[in-house]
Amino acid sequence: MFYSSIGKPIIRKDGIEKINGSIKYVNDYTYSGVLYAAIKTSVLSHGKIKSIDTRKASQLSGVRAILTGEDYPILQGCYLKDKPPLAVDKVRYYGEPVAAVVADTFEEAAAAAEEIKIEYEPLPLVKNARDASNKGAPLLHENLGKYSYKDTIQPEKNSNIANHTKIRKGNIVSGFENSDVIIEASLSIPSGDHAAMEPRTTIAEIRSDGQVVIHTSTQTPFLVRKLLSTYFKIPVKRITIIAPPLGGGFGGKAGIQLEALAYLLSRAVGGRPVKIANTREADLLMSAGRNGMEATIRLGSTLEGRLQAAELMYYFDCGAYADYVVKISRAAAIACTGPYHIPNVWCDSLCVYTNKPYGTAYRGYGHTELTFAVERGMDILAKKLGMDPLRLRLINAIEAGDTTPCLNTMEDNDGNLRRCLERAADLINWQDGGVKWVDEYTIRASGISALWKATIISLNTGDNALVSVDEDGSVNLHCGVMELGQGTKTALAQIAAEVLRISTDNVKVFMPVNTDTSPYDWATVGSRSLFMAGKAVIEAAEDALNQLLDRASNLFKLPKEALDYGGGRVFVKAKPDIYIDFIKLAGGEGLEGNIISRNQIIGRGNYKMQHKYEIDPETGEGRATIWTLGAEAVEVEVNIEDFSFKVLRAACVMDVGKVINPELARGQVVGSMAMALGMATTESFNFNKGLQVLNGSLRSYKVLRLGEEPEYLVEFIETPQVDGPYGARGLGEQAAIGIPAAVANALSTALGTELNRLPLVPEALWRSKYPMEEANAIGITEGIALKLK
Amino acid sequence: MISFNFKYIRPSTVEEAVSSYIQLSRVYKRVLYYSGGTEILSFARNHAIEADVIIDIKAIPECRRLQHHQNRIIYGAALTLNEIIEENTLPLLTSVFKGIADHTLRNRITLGGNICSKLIYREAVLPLMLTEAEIRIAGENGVRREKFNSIFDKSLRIEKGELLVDVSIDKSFEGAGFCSIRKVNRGEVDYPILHLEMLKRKGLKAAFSGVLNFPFRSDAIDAVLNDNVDIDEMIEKIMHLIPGKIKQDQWATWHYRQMLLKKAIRSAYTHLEVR
Amino acid sequence: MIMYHEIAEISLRVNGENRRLWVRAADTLLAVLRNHMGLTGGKAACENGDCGACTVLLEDRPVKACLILAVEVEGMDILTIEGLKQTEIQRAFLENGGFQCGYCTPGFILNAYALLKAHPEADDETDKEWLQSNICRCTGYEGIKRSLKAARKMMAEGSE
Repeated sequence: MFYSSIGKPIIRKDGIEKINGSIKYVNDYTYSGVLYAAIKTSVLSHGKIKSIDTRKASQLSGVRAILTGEDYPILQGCYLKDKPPLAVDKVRYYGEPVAAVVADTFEEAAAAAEEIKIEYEPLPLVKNARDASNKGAPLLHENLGKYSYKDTIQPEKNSNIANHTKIRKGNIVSGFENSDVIIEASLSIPSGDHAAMEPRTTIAEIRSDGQVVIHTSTQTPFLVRKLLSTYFKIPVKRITIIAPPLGGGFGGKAGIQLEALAYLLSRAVGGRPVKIANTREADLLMSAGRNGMEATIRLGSTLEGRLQAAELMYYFDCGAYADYVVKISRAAAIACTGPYHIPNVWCDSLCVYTNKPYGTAYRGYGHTELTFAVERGMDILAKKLGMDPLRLRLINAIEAGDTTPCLNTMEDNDGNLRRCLERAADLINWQDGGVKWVDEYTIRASGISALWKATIISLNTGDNALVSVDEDGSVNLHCGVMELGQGTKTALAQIAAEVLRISTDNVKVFMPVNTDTSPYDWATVGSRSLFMAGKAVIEAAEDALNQLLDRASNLFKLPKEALDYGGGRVFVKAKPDIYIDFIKLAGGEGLEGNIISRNQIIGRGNYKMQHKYEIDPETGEGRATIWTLGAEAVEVEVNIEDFSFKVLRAACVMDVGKVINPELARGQVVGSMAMALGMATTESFNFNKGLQVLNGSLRSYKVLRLGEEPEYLVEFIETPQVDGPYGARGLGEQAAIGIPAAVANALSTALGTELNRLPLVPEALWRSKYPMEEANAIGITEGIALKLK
Repeated sequence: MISFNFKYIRPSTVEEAVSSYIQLSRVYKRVLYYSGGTEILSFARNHAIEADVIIDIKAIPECRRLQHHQNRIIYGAALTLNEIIEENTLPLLTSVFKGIADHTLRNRITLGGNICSKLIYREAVLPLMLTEAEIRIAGENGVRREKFNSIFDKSLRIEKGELLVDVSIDKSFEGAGFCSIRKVNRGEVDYPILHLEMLKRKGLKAAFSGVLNFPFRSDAIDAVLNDNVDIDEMIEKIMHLIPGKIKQDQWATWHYRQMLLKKAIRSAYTHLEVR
Repeated sequence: MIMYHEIAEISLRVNGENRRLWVRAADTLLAVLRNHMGLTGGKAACENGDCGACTVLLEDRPVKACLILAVEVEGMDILTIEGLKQTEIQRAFLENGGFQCGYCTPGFILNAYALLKAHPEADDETDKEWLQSNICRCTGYEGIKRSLKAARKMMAEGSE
C-alpha cells in the first residue's frame, strides 16, 4: 500500500514541457540588450597566421567589437592547457576560430565576419595519428613541453604525443611463448561528431556589480565556473553559471566550450550580454567532436582458446587539441583488454595531435574504440582456432578473482559477463555464428561483442543534494545534475520518493542548474550521475525523513524505533491508527493545532567518490572503480550484389545492478546503440587532401534516420552493486561500446573477409571482397569543402 | 539566417514575372527567379548564392496548374513534388520524385526548382528525358515551346531572364513499363551515387543521374539497349558511351560507381525485357 | 503583384491569430517565429532543411521553417507546436518514450500530427517516408515509432 516507484516507468518530470515545446534551452532565452557574435574560422588545416585585416569589417553597421587571438592569448584545457579561445600565431585545424565579431544582430555580425581577411602561410599537414607519433613528424604544438598539465597525464615534449599511458601486466614475452596461436590486426576508426540536436550556445555578461553571469549549454556548470575562475583570475563567487536542460550532450558539452570566448566578447563590449549560438556547421567543425583511433593488436592463445598474451598499441587521434582525449586514451588503457582474463598484457595508449577538428568526451569514452580492436581480434582468433566466436569469449570472460590490466581483482558484485554473453547470443538466435543464405543474393550473419566500462572518476569528486519539505508535505529535490535527455532527474525524484515512501508526484525537481543556488555537482558525465547523485539523494531524503520522525517522536513521546512511516504519514508501529501526516509535521502544526516547530525541514546529503583511481605511470598498476559488464550481438543481412546491408536485430544485455526506471533505462540503452550504429556504418568526417572536412553539415554528415534502425532487444541482468543506490550502476553510454565491433564481426563473417575500418559503408564491404591496387583505392582525394563563416 | 538583404516580388502572371526580371536587371546585378526556395535559401546562408531581388513565381496560376489537356498532362513549374506525387498522374514521375530529398522538403521543392537546380543531380529531369516531354519557356518575346531533350544539355539551356513555365508529357506514357534503380552511400534520405531510370515503350530508353556531374541520356546508349546483343557486350558498349569520366567523390570511387552502374543496367534490362 | 522592400511589414496567421510585424524580406519563417513572435518551440538545429527540428504546418502540410521566407507565407495558416494542445500524439510521446532531450520533439510531433491526419490508417512505409524527414539523436527511434502506434490506437478508440 506504500508508494514504491523504484523499478517502475514514471512519466518524466520534464515531459509535459517537452511535448508542448515550451521547455527553454539556452538559445530560446531572450534578454534585452543582447548582442550577437559571429566567428571567423580557419580555412586551412595547418598554417601560420600572417595577417588579419579587420578594417572593413569593423566599419560595417552594427559592429561593436572584433577580437582576435592576440587580444587575450590564454590557454585552456581541462587536463592539458593547449588551446587558445581564438587562434594565436597559427591555426591547427580547418574550422578553428580565428576572430570573433560582436554586433547588434546576428546578421550584422555574420556579414562583418565575412569581411575579415586573413592571410595564412601553409604548414605541413599531420594527417594521421600513427605517423604523427613518429619522431621527426611536423609538430602541431612546438611548446608542448611548456604547457601546464595535470599529473595524471604524461605529455612527451617535442612530439605530437599529448599523453602516453602504459600497461605492463605479467610477462609479455613468455605470454606469447606460451601461445600456440597468435593473431595480429591493424584497425582504424575515423573521427566524427556528437551531432547533438542542440548546437552549443552561450550567453555571457558582466553585470555592473562585476558579477559574471553565463547562460550556457553545458554538462558541467560547476567545472565551467572553476575553469573560468582559473583562466581569468575571477573569484568563484563572482561567477554564476546558469545551465538549462540540454538538447543532448553525449560528452560534447563537457568542459569549456564557448564560455571563455563568450566571456571575452562580453568584456570587449563593456560587459553587455553577448550570445554565441553555433550554427550546425560550426558545431560540427569548429567545436569539439569525437576523436579517431588507429590500433595494432596481437593476441596469443593456447589451442584450447585460453588467452595468454595481448600486445596492444592504441593511437588516439585527438585532432588539433587534446581536450578530454588525453583522459580517453588513458581510460582505454585501463580497460585495454576488454572484459577478458589475460595474464600477460602490454599496452601503449597514446593521445596524438593531428591537423583535424579536435575531439572531446564522447559516449563510450574510448571504450568503443578499444572494444572494436579487441573484439575484431577475438573473431580473427576464433577463426584461426576454428572455434565458435561465442565460445572463445565464454572461455575467457572475466569473472570474480580474475585481474584487470591494472591488476585489480574482480569481485562477485561486479556482475556476470557469461550470462550477458549467453543471453545476447540467445536473443539474436546465435546458432554457432555461421552464415545463412536467404536467397541467391542475400546472406545473414551474426556478430557478437563483450563490453565493459569503468566509471573512471577522480577521487573526491562528489555530489550533493538537498531535500526540503514544503508545508503541504511535498518535497523539493535540489541537485546539480544536468538534464541532458537521459532523465536522471526523474530517476533521482524516484529515489527520493522511495526513501520517503511518497508518490513521485509529490517530489519536485528543477531542470535548470544555477551554480549559485544548486548544490555542487562535479559533472554530468561518465554515466555516473545516477550512481553518485543517487547516493547523495538517498542521504538527503533520509536526513529529511529523520527530522520528520524526530518531530513525530517528540509528539507521540515515543522512541523513533516505535514509529513507522508511509503514504505521507508517520504512525505508531503497534497502533497504525495513531498517526500524523507529513503535512502537519512539515508545517510544524503538531496535533490539534499546537505548534511544534516553524522551521522548514531540510535534509542534506552528499557522496564522495571512494574508489580511488591512480595508476603507476610505468606499469599501469592501480586501483579500479566500478565496472559495468555486458554483451551485444547483431544480426545483419547483406546484399552481395551491391553490398548494401541492414542490421536486422541488435541485442544488448548488461549487468546494471538494479534498474531504477525501466523506461528510462531502455531509452538510454537503445539510444546508445543507435548512435554507435551510426558510428559503425555511416558517421565519419571525410577529408580532402588539405584535411578540410567535406561533410560538415547534417546533409552530408549522416546520422541514422527513422526506419534505418534495427529491432532492439534489450535485457538487464541485476547483480546488485553493493555500494550503488538500490544496487544500481551506470548504463548511459555502455550500450554504445560493443555495437561497432559486433556489426563489423557480423559483416566480416557474412563476407568471409576482415573488416577492420569504420565506417562500414557498402563500398568498404565491396572493396574487402575485391581489393584494388592502392593507387585506385584512395576514395577521397578531391572535393570542395563547405564554405565556413 | 541569411545575412544579406534583398527585395521580394511576387508577380501574379508570367508576363509580370518576366517584365519585372528585365526591368530590375537593369538596376540590380543579381535578380533570381524563386520557386520552392529550399536550394536558394540553403545556398544563401553560406553566401554560395547572393541576390538583390528574388521573384517568387508561386502565385502565378499558370505555373501552378496540373492539367490534362488533350492527350497531354501539363505540370506547372511551381508545383511541389508532393503535389505531383499525390496526383499520381504518371507512375514514372511518382517513382522518381519520391526519391528526391525527404517528404517534408518535397512539400516545398518544386518541379521547376529541381530542374534548374545548381546541384549535379536534378533527378526530376530523368523522367522528362525519357518521355519526350515538352516545356514552355517565357521570355521577353513571349512564350516558346521546346522539346525537353533539345534544350536540356547537362543543364537547362535557357537565356538569362527566361522563366520555365511548365512541362507537358504525353498521357500514353502512363502505361509504359519502367525500372528505377537508385543507390546511395548509406541511408535513404540522400543524393544518389547512381540513379538509373529505364523506360520501355517502343524499345528501351535510359537516363542517368549521380554518375557524372550532370544528368544525361543519349541516343547512342538507347540504340545499344535496343540492339539485341549479348547483355555483357551491351553493358561494355554502354560503358564506352558514357559521356564523361565516371565521378569520384567522398561518397563513392568511380570503380564502385561503375560496378553499380553495370549491375543496375543489367538488372533494369533484365527486368524490362522479361516483362 | 506584391513587392516587399528589404524591410517590410507583413501579416502572419500563426496558431489562429493574426499578427502584423516588421521583418526583413530575407528573414526565414523560423527566424520570425522565434525572434519576433517568441515561439521558440521550433529549433534552429541545422537551418539547412536537413534535421526537421523547425518543422511547422503550413496549410496542414509539414514544412521546414528554416527554408521558407516569412514574406512567402503571408495569409496562410501556420501551426506551430505552441498551437497544439493536448493532442493524442503529444500524450503518446509522453507515455511511450517518444523523446529524451526534447530538442527534436516539436518537429517530430508536428510532422506526426500531420501524418496521422493525412493517413489515419497504419502503413509502415508511409510512416517511414514522412518521419525520415526528422532527425532524433537520442531515442534510436524506437520510442517515436511506439508513440505513433499508440496515438493511432487512441485516435481509433476515440472515434469509435
